[in-house]
Amino acid sequence: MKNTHLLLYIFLFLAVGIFAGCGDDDDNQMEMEMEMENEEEEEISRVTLSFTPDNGGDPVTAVWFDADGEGSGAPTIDNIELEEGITYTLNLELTNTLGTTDEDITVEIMEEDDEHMFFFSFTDGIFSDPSGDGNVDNRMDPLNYNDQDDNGLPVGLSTTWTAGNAETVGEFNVVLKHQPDQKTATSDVAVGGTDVDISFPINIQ
Amino acid sequence: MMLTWLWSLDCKTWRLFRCTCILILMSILPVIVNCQANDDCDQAVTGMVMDIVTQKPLPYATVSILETGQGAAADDHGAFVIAQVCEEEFHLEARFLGYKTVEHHHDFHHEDPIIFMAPDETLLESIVIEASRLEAFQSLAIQHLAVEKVALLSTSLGDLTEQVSGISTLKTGTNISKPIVHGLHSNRVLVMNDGLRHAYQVWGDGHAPEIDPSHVNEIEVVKGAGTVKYGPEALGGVILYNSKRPELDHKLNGFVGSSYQTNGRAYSGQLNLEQGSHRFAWNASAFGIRQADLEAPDYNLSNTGKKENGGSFNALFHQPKLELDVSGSYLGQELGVLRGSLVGNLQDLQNAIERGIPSPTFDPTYNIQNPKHETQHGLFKSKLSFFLGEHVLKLQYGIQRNIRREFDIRRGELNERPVIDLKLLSHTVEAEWIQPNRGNWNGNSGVQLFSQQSINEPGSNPINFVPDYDVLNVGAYSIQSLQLDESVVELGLRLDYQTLSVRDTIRDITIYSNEVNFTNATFTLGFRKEINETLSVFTNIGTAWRPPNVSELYSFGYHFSRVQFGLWRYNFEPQITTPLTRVFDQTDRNVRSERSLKWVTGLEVSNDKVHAELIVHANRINDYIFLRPFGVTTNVAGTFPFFIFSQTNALFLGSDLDIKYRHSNQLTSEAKISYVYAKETENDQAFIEIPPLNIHYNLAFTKDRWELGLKLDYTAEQWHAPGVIEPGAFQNGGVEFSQDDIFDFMEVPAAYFLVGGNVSYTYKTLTVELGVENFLNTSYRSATDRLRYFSYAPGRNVSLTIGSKF
Repeated sequence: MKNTHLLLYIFLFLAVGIFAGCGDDDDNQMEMEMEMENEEEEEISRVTLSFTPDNGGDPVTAVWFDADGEGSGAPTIDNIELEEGITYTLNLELTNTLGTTDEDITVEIMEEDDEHMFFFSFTDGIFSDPSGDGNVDNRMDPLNYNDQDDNGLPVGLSTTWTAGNAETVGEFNVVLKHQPDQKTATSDVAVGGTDVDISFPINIQ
Repeated sequence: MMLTWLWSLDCKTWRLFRCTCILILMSILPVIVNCQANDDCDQAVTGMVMDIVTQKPLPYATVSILETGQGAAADDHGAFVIAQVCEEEFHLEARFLGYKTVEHHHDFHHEDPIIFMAPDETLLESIVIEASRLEAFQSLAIQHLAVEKVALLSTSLGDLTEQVSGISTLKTGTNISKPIVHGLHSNRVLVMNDGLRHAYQVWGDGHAPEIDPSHVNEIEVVKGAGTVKYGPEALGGVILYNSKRPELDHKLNGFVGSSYQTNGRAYSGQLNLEQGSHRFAWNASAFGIRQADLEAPDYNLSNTGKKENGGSFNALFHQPKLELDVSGSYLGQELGVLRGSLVGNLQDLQNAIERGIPSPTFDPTYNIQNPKHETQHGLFKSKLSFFLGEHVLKLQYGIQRNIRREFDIRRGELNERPVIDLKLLSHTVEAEWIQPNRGNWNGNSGVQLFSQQSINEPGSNPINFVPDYDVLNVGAYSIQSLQLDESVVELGLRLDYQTLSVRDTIRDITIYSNEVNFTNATFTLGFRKEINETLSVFTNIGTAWRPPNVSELYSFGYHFSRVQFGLWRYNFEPQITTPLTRVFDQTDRNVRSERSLKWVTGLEVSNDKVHAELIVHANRINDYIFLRPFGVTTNVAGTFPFFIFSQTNALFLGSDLDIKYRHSNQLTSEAKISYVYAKETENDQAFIEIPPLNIHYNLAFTKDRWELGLKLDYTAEQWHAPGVIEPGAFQNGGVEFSQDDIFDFMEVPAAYFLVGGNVSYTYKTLTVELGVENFLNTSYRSATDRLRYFSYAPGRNVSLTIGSKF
């Protein structure tokens, strides 16, 4: 056997490795550092309910807070305490507190309000307006939305509520659905994926 | 395309590879150079002739040397000997009535040829393999499936693999399927792609091995602990996708084919080329498929389209004592995932189960939107074989690069960013020595080095689903077999050393890194005896092991309707805690590798009419890692059960029966029955997603140019299944379950029966095939489909394939 062949083949064999030679990892590193700056978070760990009374009083706030996000720890949940017969504007604020800096998710929902909708359910009689128990069980049940998306459909970041009789206690449930390509005038709580589904104890004084 | 793609490599592994190569070459060079050619005329060519379909010997087939006219007939065992050969190189021709004649360039120095002859009436080609099979275990149940190019055009590699008894597939919808061997999958089944351990993100149930189907010529399934030869993770078995070795001295020839399928309006094309001269041969292939949304019997399966492109080449440089084989393949995929399978909380899952029809459902389209998976896999391999008298030495280097991007439905611009974005680079360096026969002993030994580096591309998600990781495995093995009259005893041993190092940053807050080492020894011991001409028995007992994977150690949070925590993401002091920004390690919780002991016993009956194989297998796995339901947690989307990765012991028992019966020369039947029983032994409970009893029957009729086939498939309900807790029950609160009770969210799917068939007509080199699957348009769900909660499997599919050889 000719040794030239041998050498040629060994060369070819090694050439595969040489050809697959040294890449440059430094670019990657740079890219990583730059990307780190503008990383976005989509998890929601804190939901703040602000009930602003139309009589000029101080807003009533209730916070739902899960310090460990998807971890197994339980959330802390405030009590909602409203005054009999007062009308409130409820504004929702959604925040991610899990990163180094807090991030406002509310803005993201506003930007994509044609894909998102809040639904509410509550103990029957807690509010005098809207009456009933909310629109989770039936989309067409009364609810006072103050905001609309580009298609004229309700969003729910701002809603209006009039507290019912004093001494009532119950539960207040907020549901946010993400309904890309699915949100219509009739799409209900069963449509789309659930981003938020939280409950607060509520009482009227 | 592949060349530029492979370009970016890390230096460390490359240096390692270079040093290894040089060391090996320096040590063997003097041996090669001193080797003298043998000019005597007392050489003999020995080999075997087999039927490619039945894998049985073909007695009386004739093998001759074209140059000299010398020839011999195969004996009862299919073996032939042509004595007193003077030439170093020559062409062998094998002929047998009713089979396709095959010609093969052979070198005296090379390993003995095994000639697989294809019957005239099949679409398969006769092939010659140089001895790689002789190295395989004779005492293990090994099944071969020759891949028909025409058939492959209208089916997937996953579905084709499922044709082997004992193999089922774990699916995530229709486009993503990975093999289950005797109830085990993912990290517990080793997939070999063209002789290399297929490197992909194997830890994920929803990650199918990305293998270019046009590159695959044969599927081989080792239904036993194949760790000794192939390395860690082969607990259930090994699946080998083998490519075609280019044939020397063949004129330019090839295959071109195209197929259309009604379900999903899929069209695909494939081209194969091959050419061989005296010293050099090559083959190449290219393939592509486009598929729109599939349809279940009553509705569209929105966003289940797929796009795949692949290509490959093999180049063979040939010398009498030396051979270099360079090959490469590339596969790019874009796979849609059923849109209606996305759920935010368990009430959504409950709604999806009750709705019965996935929501939303759109008009079918070729467009693929989120959720989807985009993957790329490139493989480049170089193999150098030295034929040194009685010794054979093989060196192999392979590099694989795998990119995986998974897109989910997110808010706004985040939709453009994948939630999982991983790059994986793997190197394999191997040396194998096939020792000369010494008396009744023969065997082979080798060393293998496998290194892998996975990184998360920045910017996808603030928490990576798995950390960046490096794996390094060094293994050495030896397998020896002793031939005693009609029986063979085999013994194999292997030593492995493996390291896993990880590093990651959680939400820019916690930076952690860790390194774990595993050392393991594995063995295999087997026996095979031919009791008489028609009956043989075999038995094999072997161990296998695998280290815990990154997902089992580090996963944290919500994934596929489950909140789960890896072994190093929870703690028990004083009660369970899952700290958000703390990661544990081996000093907090010692995680052992999984170790399995698998015993496979079988008998084989073979005569003119019948070829049957029955195997019984038992697999005991210690420290089996699984998701144990542990408690209930509330997060912003609702209330969820949470699961922790935990270790237990498991037992898998089962049996496969294969019967082929030849009614006449035209008519053959084949029946396959597989069953596996699996349980967790500490609390004696069933696992979810274990394939139920499956019975498959196939009737084939061939006459002249026509081939007709009927396929019947029955899959029973899984009667050994864990209990059910409806997902909505968690949302409403008040669910109590025991931490030792595995449960599923839905009742196991009902039994189903599928009918399929095909008819093909061959005229000269042209073949036209019409096939139908799920002819009765049955609505069914598979117990091993992870999207079974959301939709039925696809309905009827009619395919038309045209292929031509040239």
